[in-house]
Amino acid sequence: MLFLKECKKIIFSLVFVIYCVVLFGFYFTQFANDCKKPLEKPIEGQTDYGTIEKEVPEIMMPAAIEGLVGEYLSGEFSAYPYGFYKCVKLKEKDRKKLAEIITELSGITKETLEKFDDYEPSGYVMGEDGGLAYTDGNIPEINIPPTLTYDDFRELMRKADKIIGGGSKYSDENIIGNFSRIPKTYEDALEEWERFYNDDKITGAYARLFCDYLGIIVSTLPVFLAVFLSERDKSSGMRQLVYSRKITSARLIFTRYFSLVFTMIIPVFITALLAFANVKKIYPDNELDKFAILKTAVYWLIPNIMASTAAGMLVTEISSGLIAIFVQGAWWFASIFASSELTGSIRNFTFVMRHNSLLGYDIFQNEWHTIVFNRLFFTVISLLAVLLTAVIFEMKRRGVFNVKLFKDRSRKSKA
Amino acid sequence: MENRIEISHVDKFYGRKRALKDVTLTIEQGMLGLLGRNGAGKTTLMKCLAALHTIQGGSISVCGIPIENAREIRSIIGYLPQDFSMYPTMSVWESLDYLGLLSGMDKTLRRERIEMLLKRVNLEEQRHKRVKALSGGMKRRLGIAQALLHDPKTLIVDEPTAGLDPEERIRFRNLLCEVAEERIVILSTHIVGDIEATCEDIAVMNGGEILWRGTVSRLLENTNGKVFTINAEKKYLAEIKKRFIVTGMLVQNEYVTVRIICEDKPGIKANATPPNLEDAYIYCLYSNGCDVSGGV
Repeated sequence: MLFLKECKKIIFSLVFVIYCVVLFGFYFTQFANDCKKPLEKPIEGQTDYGTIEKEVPEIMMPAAIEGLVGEYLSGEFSAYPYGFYKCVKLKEKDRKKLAEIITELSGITKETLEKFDDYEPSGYVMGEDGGLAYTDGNIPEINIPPTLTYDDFRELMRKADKIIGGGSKYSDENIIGNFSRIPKTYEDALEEWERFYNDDKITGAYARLFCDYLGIIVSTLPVFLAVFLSERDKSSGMRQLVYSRKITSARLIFTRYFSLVFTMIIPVFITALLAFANVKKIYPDNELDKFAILKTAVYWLIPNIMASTAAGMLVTEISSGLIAIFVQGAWWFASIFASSELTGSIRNFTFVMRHNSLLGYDIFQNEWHTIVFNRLFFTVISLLAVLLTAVIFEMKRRGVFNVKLFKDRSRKSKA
Repeated sequence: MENRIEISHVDKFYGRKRALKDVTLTIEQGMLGLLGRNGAGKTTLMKCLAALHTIQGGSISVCGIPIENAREIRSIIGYLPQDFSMYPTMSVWESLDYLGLLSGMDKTLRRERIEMLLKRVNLEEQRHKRVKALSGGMKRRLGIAQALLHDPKTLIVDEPTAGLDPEERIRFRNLLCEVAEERIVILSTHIVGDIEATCEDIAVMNGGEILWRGTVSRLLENTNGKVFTINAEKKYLAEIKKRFIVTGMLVQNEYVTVRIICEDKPGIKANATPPNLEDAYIYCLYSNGCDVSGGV
């Protein structure tokens, strides 16, 4: 009963209406836009079929060495030591060790590395005409020693990864994806397309695309609703009345939490049904799994809603709603923009999982264990955060917890 | 279950500030008026009794339940804070129903109690009105209804008449008197008129301490023979204020009638007059060493 009352409070709030508008808006402008025509079968003789990961030493070795030299000269290394992005800057001692590895890999001497001050990264730059142009960048010439075997190369890359602190582009987990991509052949593309039909059964692929888009939204918007509900007692002057009731803090906080999660799932499920209708429209003759998108949304999106809501409630209870929104925004931003990969960029602690493609069934399947761990991790962490919120709520209720680090807008006693 | 609150040597600190100093008080069924200035410690004491503040020393038991047992305390206490409101977009009925749920009441009981209380606080016609549309007086009455919703053994009301017009204030006081027939009611206020109209049993607080405890008539007795009126020209007013504690004055053209408190009959022409509760309260503060020079 209390659960339903809390749901009603949320549903009839302006913040919930905004949540729905943004969610549906995002759905229609993103997913529905990508869902207008069936995935085209590759045609033999096409100029480009995209790329795939494949362990090819001849491609990987020069590319990875070039990458390592470039990062060394820039002084910054991208890494995901615990699944979160980290910009690593090495101490002088470690730079010396890494320079020795680079010398072994590339033949570039330590002196050349030290004196080279004309470094330019490769990538797209603004051209004189205002358009983007690709530049190869500028690094010292690489001469891979003929005696360097592939095994030696991998071993040296492992050492480099260890010096960087783990999780770098040169780790065993990342090196192929980062430096060993080959153009797809017609046969590769056709195989992938057939997998889309036969293994993914169409809806599986659209379910991932749907969750990729919606995941961006449900990883941040729930914090606004969590803040709204947590702050509402304070802003309405209702806190003392709620505090003085018999209900336990754990029951109240968990009920509010689950009502928030429940109400936020409803529009997600509605868009999932709309998504299925969209897919059915473009594949009218295929047998589709009616619940594939819903099922994927449950394990993919609910942990995001849970985590974002729990973080919002906890930070609001400790400090204020504004800080909660800031913290959640920073987390979301870091998660979204830390990785340039839009497909299969899922690690143990990646908050916003991305897979912005109808293809890549294999990538997704290969990462299945990581995905299960990841989603369970965020679910458990969320529940622990809510438990902590309930403990803090009870302490505040008894006048024990008195936040002084942050501004608390709760009304103060006047006597 | 005994219908009594026992407060024994209670201390409460806000950081290093001692908000309650060795407070000892026994409160029986009926209404107790807790009178004191702003900042005297009344709200702190009320919050301690409602298990909304922890105490650092001493003990409190409400109807035999130690204050540490917060959940049980919350189920037998009704609390009306000084500064409160309810969700503005909810109706009167919905607000009460929601708070009833938080008190663990089942649907039938909630319906019965809400009907009965809306009648009692005269808000029957406003049941579907949104809280934000209620007047200050109506909100206060809704406040008392929510505090009585779970039929508590003790009702704690903190400055309930602040901001009400005279008519609403009288209505509210009468309501409190009715309620006090069945339970312990603690009325905290700095408005002497509220106490005068509702309580026989009072406690005066200042600086976190209980200065005086007893009946209104005894407090008045203590002040007998210490209140005088002086008729003087207006130009002497400053001098009178300097020499005596002034509790009232009435200006008429060039003359002023001043009500003063004085231990002995003043040397100037003054008429002894029976004290009212305001005089008695000010004298109580004065005789306990409090600075009352601000007077009137």
